[in-house]
Amino acid sequence: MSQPHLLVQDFRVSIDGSEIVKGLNLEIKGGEVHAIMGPNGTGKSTLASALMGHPRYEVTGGVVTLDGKDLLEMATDERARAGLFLGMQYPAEVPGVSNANFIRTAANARLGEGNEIPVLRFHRELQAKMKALNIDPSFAERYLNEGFSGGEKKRNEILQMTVLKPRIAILDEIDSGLDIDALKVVAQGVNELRSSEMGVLIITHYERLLKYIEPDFVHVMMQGRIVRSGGHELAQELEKRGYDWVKEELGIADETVGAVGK
Amino acid sequence: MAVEMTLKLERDVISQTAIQAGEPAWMLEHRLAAWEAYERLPLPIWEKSDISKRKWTEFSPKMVKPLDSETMTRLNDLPTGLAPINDEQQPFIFLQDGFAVRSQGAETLPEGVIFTDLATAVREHGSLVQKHFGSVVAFDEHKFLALHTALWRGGVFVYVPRNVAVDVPLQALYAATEVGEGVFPHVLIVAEAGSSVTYVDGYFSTGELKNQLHSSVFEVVVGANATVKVNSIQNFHRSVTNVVTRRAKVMRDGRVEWVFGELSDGFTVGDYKSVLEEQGARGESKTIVVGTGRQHFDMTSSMIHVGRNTDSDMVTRGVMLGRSVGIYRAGTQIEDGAIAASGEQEEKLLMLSPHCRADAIPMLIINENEVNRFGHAASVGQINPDHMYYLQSRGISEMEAKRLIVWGFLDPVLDQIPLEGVRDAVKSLIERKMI
Repeated sequence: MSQPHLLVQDFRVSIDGSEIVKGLNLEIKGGEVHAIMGPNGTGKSTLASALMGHPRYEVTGGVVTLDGKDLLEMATDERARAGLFLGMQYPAEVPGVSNANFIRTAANARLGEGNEIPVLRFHRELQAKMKALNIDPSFAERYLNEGFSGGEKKRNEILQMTVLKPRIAILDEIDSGLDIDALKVVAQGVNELRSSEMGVLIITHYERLLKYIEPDFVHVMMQGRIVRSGGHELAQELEKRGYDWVKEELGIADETVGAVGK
Repeated sequence: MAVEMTLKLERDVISQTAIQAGEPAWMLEHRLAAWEAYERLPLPIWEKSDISKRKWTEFSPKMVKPLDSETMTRLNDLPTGLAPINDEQQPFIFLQDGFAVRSQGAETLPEGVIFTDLATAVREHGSLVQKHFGSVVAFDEHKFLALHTALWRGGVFVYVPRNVAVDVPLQALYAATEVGEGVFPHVLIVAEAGSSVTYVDGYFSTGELKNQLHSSVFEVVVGANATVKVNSIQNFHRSVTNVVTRRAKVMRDGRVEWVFGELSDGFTVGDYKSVLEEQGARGESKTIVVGTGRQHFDMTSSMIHVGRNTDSDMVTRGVMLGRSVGIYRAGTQIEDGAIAASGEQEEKLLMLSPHCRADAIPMLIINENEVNRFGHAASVGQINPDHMYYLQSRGISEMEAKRLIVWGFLDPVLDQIPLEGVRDAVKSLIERKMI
């Protein structure tokens, strides 16, 4: 299969009529890890959710393609089946639906009709992957995310990613609420999947996660667009000096996009 | 305009039917007393269910003849799972239009256990039946109970002696067909002190029934320290008017566990109640309702705490489709003197169509100051869009995501159905309704 390729051009997103993402450009190829950093309220999570097709966000402009296909034309589930994955900041808790049943249904949807994974093999592989991510085996049969701690939810997101093997994975604040041990486990999960078969976009406030998942490209997002890009050294500089110097250089007083979103 | 309707029926018909069936005199007297009550009592007034618009009097409870082999439903046509057709050891009674057409497996039960159709029990175990028949549900509570008691036909009698544990579930199935004339089954379960039993039954109609009335009664007597599990599924045609009473009386440290499935398409008024009569009695009820088409259901589940330290738990899940209308009341009633009683209830109705209507009404009546634990939760709502988005974001189609969520919603009750075959049968019934 060809190398994964996500291309975002002049992307514009609004919530309730106010523009949050204001003409954003980004290109991610298989094998690359990109990080978008930035203070709260600059549109990072909106970007992630809008790429996944969250119904609350209205795309008002731009072109997004995944492997050359128009992503914005696709419904959320079609985007996922095309290979896009979003590890969410606040994954929903769905009562009555077991974690394993959910993940198996998702895996089969991705594999397509006629290619479903046999039930026993699925469970065997799931248990092995759970073990690697330090997830208690009983979580397979528990209701989806219900009663999971913040860290357990994040690990469960990574578990889904390792099963679904997306072409482009977006991880939205996957590090928030994780202690250092959980962070290492999550990072290891991501690193093991790093290959030319997958491109990764990490969204984070902190450089901390990037110590464990070293990005090839770092972007700073302010006022709904990418204002600066660089290599890993940019993240280190932000960690040391904060964001104010970027604002000064750009002549920005308030980096947020306005009233809503973060 | 309230129109008083009465059936064109003569006392003589009741007498002839009872005599023809070889019933003892006490039962005939009981029937006739109930018939008098039927004639005397006004139609019940249900706040949210207008029975005056239903054509429930159009059946004719004329003298019924036993079924001939032509009209008899073949066993192979029964819903698998609800009828253990491949296992002749499994205790099972099949009733059609008021007659027991098959009984099997009772001989495998422990000594003293009675599992037979009620008509046979009235003849063969008269004094036992007489002692308990009508002891839990009084026929003069309302007009339909009186009518039921006057005309009851078909039904099941379960008797478990002291300290006997019946470890296979007892199964029954009732079919109402177009040749039937009203459906009035009566189930009487008596579990003596220290005994235990599980009873599973189903009611369904075949073909296009014409304006039938179904009025069934369950009476369950749970002795001290006894445990009775009852699982009952109803699936009637849309023209059936269904007035159902299910009630248990639970004695000291006894326990009743109900699982109800109301999957009919017609008009149902249901009254499900457990009276926790003595100290330490416990009642549980789990209910699934699936509203389809123009179905109307109006159900009241209640737990009446009379004894001290009594404990109850009610869980309901309803899925509403089409233009269905559903009213679900859950009543926890703590009587004066029920010290340290505990009760929990949770009713949730999920609306899957913009044209359905649903009400979940919790009713809490506490007449005792010293209650222990007491909780309730009621909700009526649509599928949470965040749940849909999350599932779809993993590649699951909208339809499949909806299915997962609905099955997940029903899971806490489905999970309680004691037999796998019955569980599967209920699932496939629900599945068909959701298409």
